[in-house]
Amino acid sequence: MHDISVEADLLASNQATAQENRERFIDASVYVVNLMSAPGAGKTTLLERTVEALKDRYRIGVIEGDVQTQQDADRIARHGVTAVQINTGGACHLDARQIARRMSSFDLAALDLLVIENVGNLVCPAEFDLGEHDKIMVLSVTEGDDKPSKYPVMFHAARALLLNKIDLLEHVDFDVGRAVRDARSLNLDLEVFEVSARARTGLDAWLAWLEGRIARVRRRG
Amino acid sequence: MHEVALADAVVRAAERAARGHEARRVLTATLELGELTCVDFEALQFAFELASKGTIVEGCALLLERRELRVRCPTCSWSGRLEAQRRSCPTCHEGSLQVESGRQMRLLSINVEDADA
Repeated sequence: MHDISVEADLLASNQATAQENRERFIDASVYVVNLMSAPGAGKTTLLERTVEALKDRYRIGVIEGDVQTQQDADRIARHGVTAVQINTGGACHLDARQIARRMSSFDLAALDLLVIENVGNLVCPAEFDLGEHDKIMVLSVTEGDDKPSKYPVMFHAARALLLNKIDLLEHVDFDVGRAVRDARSLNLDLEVFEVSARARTGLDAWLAWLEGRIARVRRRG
Repeated sequence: MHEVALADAVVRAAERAARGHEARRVLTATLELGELTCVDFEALQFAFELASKGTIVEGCALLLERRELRVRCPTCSWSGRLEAQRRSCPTCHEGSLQVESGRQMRLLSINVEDADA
């Protein structure tokens, strides 16, 4: 009997594939975001609004992650952009290998923006790098202002936070100050946008920020 | 549910290390998990039992070393352990802190039965 030192990172294999994805994204000068939230926060509606607003000026592709069904990809494809569905068949998150397999559905060099909508879940997706440039969190005010403190990993990893359904604020006990303070507590540079995808409010600041990120990646390419 | 993916990674890493040392069987595996990860250890153990079936890792006991969340304050340079639920610097009350440690998810070591035992 003897001890063997291993020191192996458990996410190393996903990390290696994510790095390969990242290099392909950088080569193609396409800005890639990983959109994450709990189920029902409004990711798909927000994505529809974003696609509507930007599709005439940018070439956009979408990868939809879901446990089952093709519904979300169909919703996005109606706006005239390429949308492919990944069904995880029960798994609660997307991993880098699934993204690598789906990349052939796109001519990456012909895209400016690729949005990966992750499976609705506040726990697992944060641990799995897909090779994206930025992780974007959506939190709706109907979920409660305690979520950033209860699920710190997701908020720690995000570049931007969209507080969605902000038009419902008067009907719920949601302290915007508390949610933002907690979300930033382990994430100094988190950008926050208050929006309502359904009521189409607050979207300009989000879209302007997103365009700035797209431009940054293009310049480097 | 990502514990299934992690359990699989533990089995593969332990197998590889054990084979490299021509071990017959893996008896224990010691994991390092940071506080700022979302891993349910019981779920991981359950997934590990299933993932290790039929391998030289089957029956191996999982041991856990937890790593606390340690942060650094960018304003006053305080660093240390951040207590659960506290979300600001204990000395200057700065609200945004840098994470120094707490994201670890590693297989540290294994204990094996040697082939000639």
